[in-house]
Amino acid sequence: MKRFRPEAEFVAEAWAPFLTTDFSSHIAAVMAANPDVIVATPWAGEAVTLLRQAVQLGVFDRIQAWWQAMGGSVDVLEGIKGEVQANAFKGKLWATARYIHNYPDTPENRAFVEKFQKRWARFPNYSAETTYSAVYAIKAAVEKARSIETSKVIPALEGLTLKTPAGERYIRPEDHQAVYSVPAGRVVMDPKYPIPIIGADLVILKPEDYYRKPPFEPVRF
Amino acid sequence: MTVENLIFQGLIGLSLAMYLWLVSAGLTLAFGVLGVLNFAHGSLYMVGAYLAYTLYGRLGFDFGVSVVLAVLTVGVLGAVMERLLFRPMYRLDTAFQLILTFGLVLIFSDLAKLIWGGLFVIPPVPAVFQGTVPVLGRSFPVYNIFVIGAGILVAGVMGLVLERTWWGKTVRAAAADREMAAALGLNISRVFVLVFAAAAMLAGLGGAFSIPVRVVDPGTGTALIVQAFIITVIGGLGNLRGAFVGSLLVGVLSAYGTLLFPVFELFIIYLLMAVVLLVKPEGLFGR
Repeated sequence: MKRFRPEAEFVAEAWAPFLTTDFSSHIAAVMAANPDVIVATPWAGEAVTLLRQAVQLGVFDRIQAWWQAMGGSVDVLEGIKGEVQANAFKGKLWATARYIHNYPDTPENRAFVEKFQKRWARFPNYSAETTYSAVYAIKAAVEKARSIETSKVIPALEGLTLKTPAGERYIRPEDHQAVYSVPAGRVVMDPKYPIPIIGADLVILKPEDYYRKPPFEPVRF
Repeated sequence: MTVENLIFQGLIGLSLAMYLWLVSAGLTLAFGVLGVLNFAHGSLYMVGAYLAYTLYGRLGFDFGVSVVLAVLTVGVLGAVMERLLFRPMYRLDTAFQLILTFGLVLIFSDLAKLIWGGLFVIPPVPAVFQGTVPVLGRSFPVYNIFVIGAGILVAGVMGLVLERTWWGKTVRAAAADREMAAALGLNISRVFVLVFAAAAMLAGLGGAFSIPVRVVDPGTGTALIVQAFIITVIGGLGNLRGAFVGSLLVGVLSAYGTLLFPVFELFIIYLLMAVVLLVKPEGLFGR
């Protein structure tokens, strides 16, 4: 963050272990420092609990923005639907996810979402899309290597580009990371969808901007 | 760090303490009277939460009614548990009790997954809990005021019943010396089933009351039971006054720890338990 906004100042932090069910101490501790922006990392049920309790504590009247990492996960969006509909977040909730069903608007993604909905009656979560793409990645590598031996499939995966529902993925040979562009934006209700989506002020983060390339420098705090 | 922020954090800690008290009270009662260390206390909390969620969030009952019905149902469940499962175990080693209640935890979790699915659930916030009150220039949730009220009410009612009523005297006698009380003509088995039902109802109350601000899933209650155990150890196993004071200590210290020593907040509760065990191993109010 210092790289993009050098004037950004960290004023408070709070650490909550997994299985925390009461974040009010943490929220109150952070709010004591009068922050403009809060960045939060709990996910799944804890994200919903945290956001619900933050609304209870009147946080969204005071801050300018709340960034919820993995907030674009379908289970979280379903959980906060009531709050988004009632505008409890006052338009200040931003989130990202490894994959959201409404981006990118490609034939692959549309087909995937449609078939998933027909089969499961819900929108696909990032975990569904990643698994789906992983199966196809292995298929592509096996076809390229013409073998199912692990030692032959690994080099076939390196450098592979794949058109997946999340967009184009490239498997870096130097560390086997599958890099792709990731969407982020404001959480809103959209008339096309029954649940909230990351649908406004969408920012597409390209891998060059956020994936570090090896060799990795140690992160300094 | 202003004085207002310090006082505010203390109030947050108080509401956390009262919530922890609601969860620990039943566990302490069960151990103090029946001598049962009930691992499944967290599961009863979870059942209370799920029942209240279904009644209020899915079937549209009034929230208060949902809580009452959930609490009563968990009470009946507790009575059945005591009669069928705990009764044969009293004369056996405590190890068997632990295994039994641990097995119950697993069964309840899987049943919850079968009935409500593996994904977490949360109902809308009841209108009465929405909003904040201004306190020292900051916003204190209305819901937390209710939690503080509920905790004090439970403590007050329990104190009154146990100290001032004949029934309370019976329970205290059964807790102090089971055989003597039976020899004096008290119906111990009736005392036990009713006390355990009360302990279960307290667990169910904690669970049902928590749903406006917490998701419920098949793992709910497992983390809480650890905190409840630590509080009972700090306060003195089976001692209700100890559990109340222990909850206050843990709640308020956790809140201040989060504010003043964020990285160490994680193990403040264990540090407190370690200190108490070193200084007074039987617990603050234990004998």
